[in-house]
Amino acid sequence: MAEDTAFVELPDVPPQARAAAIEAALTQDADFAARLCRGASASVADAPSDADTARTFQALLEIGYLVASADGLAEQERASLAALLEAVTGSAVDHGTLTLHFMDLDEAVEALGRRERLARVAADLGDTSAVEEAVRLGALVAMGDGTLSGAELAVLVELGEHGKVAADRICELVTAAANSVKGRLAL
Amino acid sequence: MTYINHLAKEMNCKIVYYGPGLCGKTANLQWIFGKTKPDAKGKMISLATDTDRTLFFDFLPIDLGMIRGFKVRFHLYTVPGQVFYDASRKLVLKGADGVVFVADSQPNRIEANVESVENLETNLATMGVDLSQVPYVIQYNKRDLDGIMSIEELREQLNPRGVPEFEASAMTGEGVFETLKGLSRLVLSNLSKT
Repeated sequence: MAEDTAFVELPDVPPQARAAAIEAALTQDADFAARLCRGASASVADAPSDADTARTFQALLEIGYLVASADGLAEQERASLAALLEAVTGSAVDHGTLTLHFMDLDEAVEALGRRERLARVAADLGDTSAVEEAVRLGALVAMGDGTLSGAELAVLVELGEHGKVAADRICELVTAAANSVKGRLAL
Repeated sequence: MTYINHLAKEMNCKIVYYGPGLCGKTANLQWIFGKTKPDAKGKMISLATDTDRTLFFDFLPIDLGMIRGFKVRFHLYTVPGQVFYDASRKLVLKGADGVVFVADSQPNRIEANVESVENLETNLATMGVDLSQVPYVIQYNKRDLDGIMSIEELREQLNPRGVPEFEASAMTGEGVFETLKGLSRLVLSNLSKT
């Protein structure tokens, strides 16, 4: 599939409706949502009591950024991404912190390499189920602008390669995530 | 280009091990990785790029402490030494905060060493960077082998600027951490100035 072809196109709805549907899809698994909140809280704590949870959250955050920025990340997309992540973490990490973090990640990609960063954060995820969770999060975050492009899918497939998840399975996960959002938009 | 991760409260420095093919760059990284405590390091990653493989890992040196309230995390990268892979070397060099040049002490490798130093200078220059402005040390590796060149001979050809230099045997670990510490001092000194 060409990288400039959209793999997912969400229905044309107001951005707020799309954001709400994506947020609902991201938090439908209560356990995952709770872990995101815990990870976010641990990440901003002065002395984190659970460094592993914080590290996993930061890895997920970076994956979301790497996927969403694969085809460029305009200011509006950054703001939407920050708003979404602020919402799904129960505001444990605020919008300003997330915006600053994306700027840090811009520099990380510039200095350390985009593919290198993806490989590094993938190594922090652990088992296959954690990789699949990260793929789902990355896919949903990337759909914030209404589409998931071929370039964004390519990043998810590469993430799957690091985590020993086949490309077909990645496509299944992305399609399921997209259907979850579409289902909410249809309500 | 040191980048700061405010969320993780870390300053991140990229250190690149440069040198000709088979000079011991990977052996340096493997030794450091093997001797670093598990809770202070990330996994060592070998990433296939378009043309070859790049090896890297990151770690938090526990004895470095903090700078302005931030931990300092080092990211160590090797470049492919073979002449063919120049594009990859340029990519890896981009954003480097410090460079270790690993020289092979064997006489039949002096030409490859000299070419590699020149290649390093050229590649940095294409990025608008002068080697004299980058924290830079030289490691004379394979000092455990017989029939190697003297340090004076190597210095004359490879270190006309008189940058810090270290003798090493990456296979046995001798001089490996001394080299890294030598470069770290320069990198941290640079960081403190910014």
